[in-house]
Amino acid sequence: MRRLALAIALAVAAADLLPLGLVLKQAFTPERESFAWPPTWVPRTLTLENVRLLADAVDLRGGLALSVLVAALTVASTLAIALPAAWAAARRPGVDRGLDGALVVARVFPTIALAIPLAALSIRLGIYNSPFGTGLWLGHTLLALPLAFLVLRSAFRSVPLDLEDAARLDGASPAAAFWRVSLPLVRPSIAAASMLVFLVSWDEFGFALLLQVTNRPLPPLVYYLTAFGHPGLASAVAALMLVPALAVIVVVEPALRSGVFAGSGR
Amino acid sequence: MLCDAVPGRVAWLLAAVLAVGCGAQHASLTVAVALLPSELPVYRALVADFERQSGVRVVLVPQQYADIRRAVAAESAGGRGTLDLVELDVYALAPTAPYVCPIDASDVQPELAALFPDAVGAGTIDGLRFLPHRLGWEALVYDHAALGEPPADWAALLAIARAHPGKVAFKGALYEGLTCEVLPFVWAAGGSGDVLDDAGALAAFRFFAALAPYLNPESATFKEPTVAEAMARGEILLHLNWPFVMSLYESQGLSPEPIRSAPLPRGPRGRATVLGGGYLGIPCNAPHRDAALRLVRHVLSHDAQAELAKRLGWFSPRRDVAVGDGEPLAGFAAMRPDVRPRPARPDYPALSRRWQEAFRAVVFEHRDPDAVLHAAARAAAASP
Amino acid sequence: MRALRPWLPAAPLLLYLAAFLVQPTLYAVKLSFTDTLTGAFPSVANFRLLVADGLFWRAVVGNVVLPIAIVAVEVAGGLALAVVLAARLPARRLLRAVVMIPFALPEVVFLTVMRYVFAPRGYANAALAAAGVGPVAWLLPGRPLTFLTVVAADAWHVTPVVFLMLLAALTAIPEELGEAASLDGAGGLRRFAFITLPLLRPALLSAVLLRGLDALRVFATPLMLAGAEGLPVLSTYAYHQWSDYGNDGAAAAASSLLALLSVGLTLPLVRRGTAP
Repeated sequence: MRRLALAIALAVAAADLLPLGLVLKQAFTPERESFAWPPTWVPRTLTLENVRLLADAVDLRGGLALSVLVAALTVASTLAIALPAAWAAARRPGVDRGLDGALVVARVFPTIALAIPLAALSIRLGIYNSPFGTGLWLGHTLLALPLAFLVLRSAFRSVPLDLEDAARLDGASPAAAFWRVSLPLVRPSIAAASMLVFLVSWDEFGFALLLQVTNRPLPPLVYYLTAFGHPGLASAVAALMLVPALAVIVVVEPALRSGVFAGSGR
Repeated sequence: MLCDAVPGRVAWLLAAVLAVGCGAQHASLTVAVALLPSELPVYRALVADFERQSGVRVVLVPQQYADIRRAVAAESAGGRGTLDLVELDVYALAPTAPYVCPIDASDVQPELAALFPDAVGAGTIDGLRFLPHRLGWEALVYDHAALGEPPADWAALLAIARAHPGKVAFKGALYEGLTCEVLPFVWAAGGSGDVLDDAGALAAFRFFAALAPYLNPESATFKEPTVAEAMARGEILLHLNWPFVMSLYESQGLSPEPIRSAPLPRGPRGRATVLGGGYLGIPCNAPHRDAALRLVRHVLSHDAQAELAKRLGWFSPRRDVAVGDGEPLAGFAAMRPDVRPRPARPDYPALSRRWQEAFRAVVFEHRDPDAVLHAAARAAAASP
Repeated sequence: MRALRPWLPAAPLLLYLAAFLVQPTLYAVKLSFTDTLTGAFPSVANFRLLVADGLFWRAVVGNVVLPIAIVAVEVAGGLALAVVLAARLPARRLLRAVVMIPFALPEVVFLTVMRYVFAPRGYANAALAAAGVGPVAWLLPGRPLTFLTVVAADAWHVTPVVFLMLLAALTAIPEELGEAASLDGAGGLRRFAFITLPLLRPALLSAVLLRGLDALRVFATPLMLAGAEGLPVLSTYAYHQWSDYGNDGAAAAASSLLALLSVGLTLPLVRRGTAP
């Protein structure tokens, strides 16, 4: 049985590495090779010309800084807002139903339908095209909240109530019980949620395209290069975008392992 | 630009940096142009001349036409703008006209007088709102290595389609780009383009029906970028497109060998192609209108246009700038005398849609061309 | 006031949604009742235009069938992955990180690669050609195979999210019960079905709700792979109206109908999801 599981895992891993491999291959081979038939699986000529051409085509450094800033801020704000809400929802069915309904409403409109009114709103607030991506930060938080809420709520639901009650009996306030007892127990889920939120913000380009005109994060730059038929340049930027994304995954993954609390409630 | 301060200790630090950033943005024009990555360096050099002469900094933002249009719409909804100058493609002019304010003709003399009148006319919607930036029209783009000589007339095109089934494509998605492929054939058969079922239209659509079984089926969803990509991959050998693709293929090493351009094939009554291109407009709530006008005059000046024609192969809207004679654009250049503007009537969008639906009915649903066109003409006559 | 105290921790979330969601939503609804050509309000011109358009009806059907297929594949796949990778496998940590990779790729890039994989002269057909099998038309407009290809591409990209959610819930199950999650020995499957699955039910319903809502407004995947005419759904139809015809009102109308459809399809799930 275990061998079957391993085989499945390896097959899936191979399938998951394929898009990554293709991106890297296209980033470091001349663009002509990307259009060859039959397509090359192993690059015939390795080159850095795509990276060199990038400097002329897009503002890479500024884009990278903005992407990092907005993603980090989004993680912070999303967790700050979603954690208490998820805890409350896991504890009270009434709150739960209400929040589920509210989040359904938050997700029913396609992003394109929200983008123009949000742009108009951000202009009125004076944060349109901000060099710090303030409008983006607010928009991404909106997009990420439902995801973070659902992940965290599942986690809180799995934490037995009696742990907190025990703390309360010892005289702790509800907030302290939450902070000192429940919160540490859901650390793996917080890690998972942070990772997902980071990636949502990092990769998002619908709002980025509309709320930022001159100070653009990386995804609109990739989109521009792809739309104008430069798979090599686009892949080079994508390869750059992968570095922080993969770093986040690697850093956060160990926290996923410590999800087992043997005998914590008995 | 409003310099907000966000509450929080770290934010005060950032606010200081922001203040510096705000200061640096004074007297700077923001210009959105649909430039290919390979065209950016040349255009930047051109703009650098303007910066030196005028002391105004210019920030170039390369974006696709659709995104520029969206940005203009969003900014106008908010009441304050970032964009000083935008380039839009010719079929976005009418929907964007409400957000772009008319230009006083005297502000752009003598450059305005040197432009082609029909090109200027296309930008005149309730006043002079848009000025032609670069002209474009469609021509044939084909694989020279696989096909040898390009088709000179409709019979030759049909023969190529038969000999290479699935290798000829049209941009057949439901959008204005399809009309740009239909009208040249209608005109080449003597049709007016205004009437859905005159003799020229019927002849053209009968030709489409003959061609239909041999067309690449992805034509039903092809647009400019996707059909260009299919050609780059060798999935098709011939299609119609705008001059930008030759620049693209050149930068990818695919032109002039094997991909070249050629004039559209002759129809029963000659050759024709549709006038298109990029137009410059100044949004109503542009923060630096006067500086933007000065930049427009600089870009439309003889020296600037000659430079763009020479280095990028652009077709200039100025009458006194010669059409470039570079190899990849030879086919396009040869069609200059055959360029015609689209019908100028207030209900053009509705008419265009009927052409698109008729083409799709004939080519992808295999309906009888005469029946489809007569039905379309009746529907057009019946609607208000 | 007492009754509101449980809501206090959720207040920031509700306030945030009220501030940044209400206005755009009202704007979109107002726009759908505004005639684009004349600016008249209120007007049902947009809805009349939609009803008369064959492409719109194809988009409605597509918008029901496609999300169901996507959610089914992704939740089943995510669950299978979570179960497999919760077991004590060698290099488990590495495998889990690798599984996340497709989601780490930006959507634009991922979809472009998918286009290159499923193109008539793409990597998939190259692999088939090497095996001596003829080329397959993966993404031809309007065909059933196109539908399956789009589902597969979306699943390829997003299953990691479901996997992560379910893994977090799975590993939160206390150790004694956690034995049921490992797949060794006979009886493991029964333990999985009768112990693990019920415990995972809240997480599973959350995953279905989350993916369901996202799949209902799926946009970039069908647009970039098949085009608005190839595999129409309401969001790409709205985009097509906006981008190709400049008809903001019709685009907003289609978006509003999508919103209504989403609420209608997910409300029963919301009710069931909150049962203890």
